[in-house]
Amino acid sequence: MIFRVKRFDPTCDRRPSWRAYTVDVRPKMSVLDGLFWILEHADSTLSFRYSCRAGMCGSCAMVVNGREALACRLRLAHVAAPVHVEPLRSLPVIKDLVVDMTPFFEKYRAVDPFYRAEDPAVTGPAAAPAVVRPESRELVDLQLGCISCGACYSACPVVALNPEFLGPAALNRAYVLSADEREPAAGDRAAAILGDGGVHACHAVGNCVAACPVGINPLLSIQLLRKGATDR
Amino acid sequence: MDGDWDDLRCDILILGGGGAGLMAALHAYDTDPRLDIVVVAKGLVGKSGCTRLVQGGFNAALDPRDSPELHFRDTLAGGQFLNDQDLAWTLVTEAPEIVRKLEAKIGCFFDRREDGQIHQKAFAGQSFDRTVHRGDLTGIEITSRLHDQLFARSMRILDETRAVELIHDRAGGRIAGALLLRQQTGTFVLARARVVLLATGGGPRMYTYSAPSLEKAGDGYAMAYRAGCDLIDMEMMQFHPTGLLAGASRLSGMVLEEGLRGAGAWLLNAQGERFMARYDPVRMERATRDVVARASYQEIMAGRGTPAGGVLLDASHLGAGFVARHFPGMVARCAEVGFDLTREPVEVVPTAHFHMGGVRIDVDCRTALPGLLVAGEDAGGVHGANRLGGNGVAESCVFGARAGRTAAQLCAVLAAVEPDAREAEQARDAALAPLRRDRGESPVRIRRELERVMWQHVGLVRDAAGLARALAAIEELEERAAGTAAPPGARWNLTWQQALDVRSLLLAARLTAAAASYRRESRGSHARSDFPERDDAHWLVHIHQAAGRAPWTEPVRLTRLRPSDLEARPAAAPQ
Ligand SMILES: Cc1cc2nc3c(=O)[nH]c(=O)nc-3n(C[C@H](O)[C@H](O)[C@H](O)COP(=O)(O)OP(=O)(O)OC[C@H]3O[C@@H](n4cnc5c(N)ncnc54)[C@H](O)[C@@H]3O)c2cc1C
Repeated sequence: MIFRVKRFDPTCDRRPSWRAYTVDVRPKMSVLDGLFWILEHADSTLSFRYSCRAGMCGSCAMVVNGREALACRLRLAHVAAPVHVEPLRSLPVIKDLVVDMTPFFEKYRAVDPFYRAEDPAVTGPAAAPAVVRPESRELVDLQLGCISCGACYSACPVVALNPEFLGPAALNRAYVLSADEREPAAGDRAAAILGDGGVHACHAVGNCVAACPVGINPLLSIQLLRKGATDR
Repeated sequence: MDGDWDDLRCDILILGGGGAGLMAALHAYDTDPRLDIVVVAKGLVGKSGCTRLVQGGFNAALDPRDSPELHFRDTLAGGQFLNDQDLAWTLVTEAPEIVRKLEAKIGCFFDRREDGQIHQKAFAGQSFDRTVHRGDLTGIEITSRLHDQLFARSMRILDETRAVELIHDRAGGRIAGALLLRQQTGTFVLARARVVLLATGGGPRMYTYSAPSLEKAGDGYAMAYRAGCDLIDMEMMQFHPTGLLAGASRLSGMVLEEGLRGAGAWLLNAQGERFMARYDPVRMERATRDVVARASYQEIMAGRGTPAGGVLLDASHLGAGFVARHFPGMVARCAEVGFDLTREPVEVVPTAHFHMGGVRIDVDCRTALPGLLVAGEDAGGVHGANRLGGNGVAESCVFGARAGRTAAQLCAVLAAVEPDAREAEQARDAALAPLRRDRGESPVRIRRELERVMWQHVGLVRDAAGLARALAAIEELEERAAGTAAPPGARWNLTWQQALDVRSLLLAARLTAAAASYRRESRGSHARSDFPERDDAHWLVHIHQAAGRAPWTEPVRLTRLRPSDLEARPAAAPQ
């Protein structure tokens, strides 16, 4: 199977270039397995990021045949050849398929993504876990399992055009916290959520929904945050 | 690349960004926010390592009908009394408070029962359902929330930075820092710290089938050993019975979580027999991992395995709806490689999962070397000869928290000392060797051979002849590894990183095989076909290994519970 991989080393290349490799594909291999095959058999200089290889860490998000995907979860049997593999969009490339996640996490940080307890010091005694009925957390449950892979960020056309926009993952986290009935000292997230880079910058294109590899609907979170703001 | 390094100074240097590393960072910071803390991880902090991969959950005696005493008995029964009882006691007594902290301070949102209390599910080898979880992908919630909390505190994070070597002070009496390698730039950093915490998460990836995250390579064991720590119980390698078989994919060896067997899933051989009836007719599939994994292996070896060399995990009789609701992550994982977990048996194989052995520590995570703390899977002793499912993440969080507090306290009394530059130079040159070599063998080939050797001879059933062969093979591979080459260019050079991984894997493998050949009995995860019985009279001892010394033993201190106490009341009642 032909792989076409976008190669780029910003310290010495003027622009990215596509390199083709013929990968010896065996059953059940994923795109990530294909990249390892290239590394081990064809080109020992290829760079890509990985850790868990099971869709849990969110390290290997990239763009495959034009769409964001976790390389470890996309089976080669399900992709059309030649397979075009490129790094996530809207993030600076460090080398080849490895992007710098700093802007993504800076924006995530802007919503105060941490749960805030009354006494936040972890060294002090903890309160008993709150009593929460399963039905009252249904929405939180749906939106909770973000693996911060950056796929939604890469797929979002607003992120690409508006450098202020915090992006789907950060706003989804803000929503989850706002809907988390346990948080006693509800953080001061309104400024970030309603500011220039917040929910009002979203154009509701919905690419984030299709891009999310773990089935979260960030657009819904953004809409619920908006609604919450007008209801207030 | 001239091999110069940047200098970095801090109070606490935390090596590892998994559960132990992150808990330590938060606890050290909250003990004294003025401390300058640096967190270093080979992968992305909070996203790499095995805490992220925790599926089933976290053991803690929360229910009033349960107790730390019962949890302790289960842990020792599971560990076949090789556990360090002080460490195990610390684990079970502090786990409940750590769960409360994770929930009420750090913000993890664990699953609830109908009545709104935290839900606890069944795992193997436990007399009470005490495994706290978030669906069947619990580690994502724990590590993400821990990572979020870093944003509320000020500390330095060095992502994608490999600790290469621990560095002593000039006098050689203590650890003064570590040499680091930043993957993004390919440059070295010499970090000086008052306290270094080693929390790189062990990582038995030197087997054909293994579960941990791909970047782990036993670096922590290798660094600690070379620095002069003693490591204990390295023969104790846990194989998880249900590693997914996914052909040529690296997904092979990834675990299907234990909650499936907890909920009643069966293990079948290729003839459709529930073979556990032959090995543990009382506990069946809910026997401890050592027992179940070995039974599967014996079925496969006896020719009753599937064509792909596995056995079958069957959850279909639990009802498709039940399985889909309770194990959505596992269902999705199986579906990707063509199995419908809700309706049909899935091919599984025992997979190297967790290394019970590790650096000898005390309850405050101190080691024999001043200035060095160790926590999490890099440490040994908590789990004895076999870890219970759900006790791993509990260990990394409980001891990570303790290490953080100890580190903060030590900073008040330990002056910063200069790391020995000569030692750092040697470490750097050794690390650079594959990059400076024009020609040489590929590290990947050596790795594959090591995996085969370990799987064949240092796997689920061992004997003297096989172990001797393994040790000889490892020695030969070590010689070849000294001649590996990587392509030029230090930035994000995965082949170079692989060469460095192989060096650690080989050392961890050698320590494992040497301890395995030393222990001439069978206990927990360590099964010797030439010494099939457990022998408490002679082998209730830890096997210690330290550089420059022949292995030696020290008795296990039975301070709280003796094997005879359990005979009166078996630990894990069948359900
Ligand atoms: C698939 C799987 C499922 C599991 N499920 C469960 C479960 O349900 N319940 C349970 O209790 N336990 C489970 N475990 C075990 C559990 O994950 C471990 O016991 C525990 O998480 C180890 O935590 P740690 O902090 O020591 O290491 P990890 O969480 O593995 O963290 C290690 C960190 O160190 C970094 N690192 C590695 N080498 C270096 C280096 N040289 N320099 C710098 N950084 C380095 C890594 O990148 C990572 O950031 C599971 C393990 C696996 C593999």
